[in-house]
Amino acid sequence: MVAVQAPPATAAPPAAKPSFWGRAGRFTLGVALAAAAVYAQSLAMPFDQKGSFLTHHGSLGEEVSADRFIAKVTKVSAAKSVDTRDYSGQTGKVQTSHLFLVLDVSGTVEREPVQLRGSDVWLHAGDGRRYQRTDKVDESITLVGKYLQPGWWTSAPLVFEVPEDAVPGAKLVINAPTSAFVVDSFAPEAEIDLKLSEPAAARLIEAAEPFHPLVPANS
Amino acid sequence: MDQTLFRTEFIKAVDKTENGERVVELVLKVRNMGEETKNVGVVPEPGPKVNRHGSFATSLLKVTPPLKSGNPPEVYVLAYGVRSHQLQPGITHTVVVRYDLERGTAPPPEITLDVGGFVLATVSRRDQRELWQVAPKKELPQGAGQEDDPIEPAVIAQVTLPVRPEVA
Repeated sequence: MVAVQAPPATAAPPAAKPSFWGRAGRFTLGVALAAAAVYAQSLAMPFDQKGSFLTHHGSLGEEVSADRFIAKVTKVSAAKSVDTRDYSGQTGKVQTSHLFLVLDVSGTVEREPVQLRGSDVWLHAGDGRRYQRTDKVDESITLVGKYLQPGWWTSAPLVFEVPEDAVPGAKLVINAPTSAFVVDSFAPEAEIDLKLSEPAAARLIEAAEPFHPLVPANS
Repeated sequence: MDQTLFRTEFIKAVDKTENGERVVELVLKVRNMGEETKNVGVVPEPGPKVNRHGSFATSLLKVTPPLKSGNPPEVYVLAYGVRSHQLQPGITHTVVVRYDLERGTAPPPEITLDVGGFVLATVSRRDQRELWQVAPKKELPQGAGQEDDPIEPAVIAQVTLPVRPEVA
């Protein structure tokens, strides 16, 4: 048989009933905390922005500092053909029916050396299309693959193959190289406006050189 | 043919002999309609599933009858004799898919290609980036941890090309 026992008579005396103001205060505090939590949600970063870089802006001819490196575009030229060099040192000519945009870029760092990779440099067209540097020109004669060292500027061209309508409003974007294994969502990037307004772009295209040599003559 | 991300024209299939080796080259014109430079990609290995993050060549799903080549075909962009592996947005590229045939085999008189498409979709519930992916037959798996699962692709068109000997 199950015996049902009455609770012991020596139960603790009920806690003193909180005053009306005490209860009202706790209620208000609860509502305020809940409201604050809901409000805090509206401050959360949208998903699209979580992976984006901290952008430092600048334009042609300026030194643009992006914390981990400093970059400067000194000259923009357009060409219908350029030259390249393969691993054996042979040089060859590369043509396009579109346009090669050749940017003379210098870079340096303040403390730690940085090596730029192909996926760190992009040309953003005025309409938002993004171009990777062309693989028709060997990396060894461009800024890609080179180390930026503290103390001096490293200068080399970056070459992009683009259609003519991508030239107006174009910007060079350089991301600080990040490790392949560690995701760094706060890596800085430098966005350098190439000062190509519609008329400036038209002039550049008009003046496109038939051939722009890239390979240094003495090597 | 409209593959959403690419607009593709199948030009020809050429049967050539180079240094005593027989090769079949598919010649295509491909325009990148997207926003970003894309790698030309690799032709998928025979089988029902493909890499959902594949690029252009991944959409060349199947060739019937199969071309007997020891190695997977080489895919490259050709312009003025220079090879590249990039498809730049807004530019129409000539793409060559080159099959090195096994010794002593002859190509069939015509081939049929199963061609896939692309969709812009989120990768998964966990990774909400919208990326171009190979269009699936059913739907893209969206579960966390399934981001890189191979998928069964949808065939959006079949293209038949005669294999013609190269005119020297």
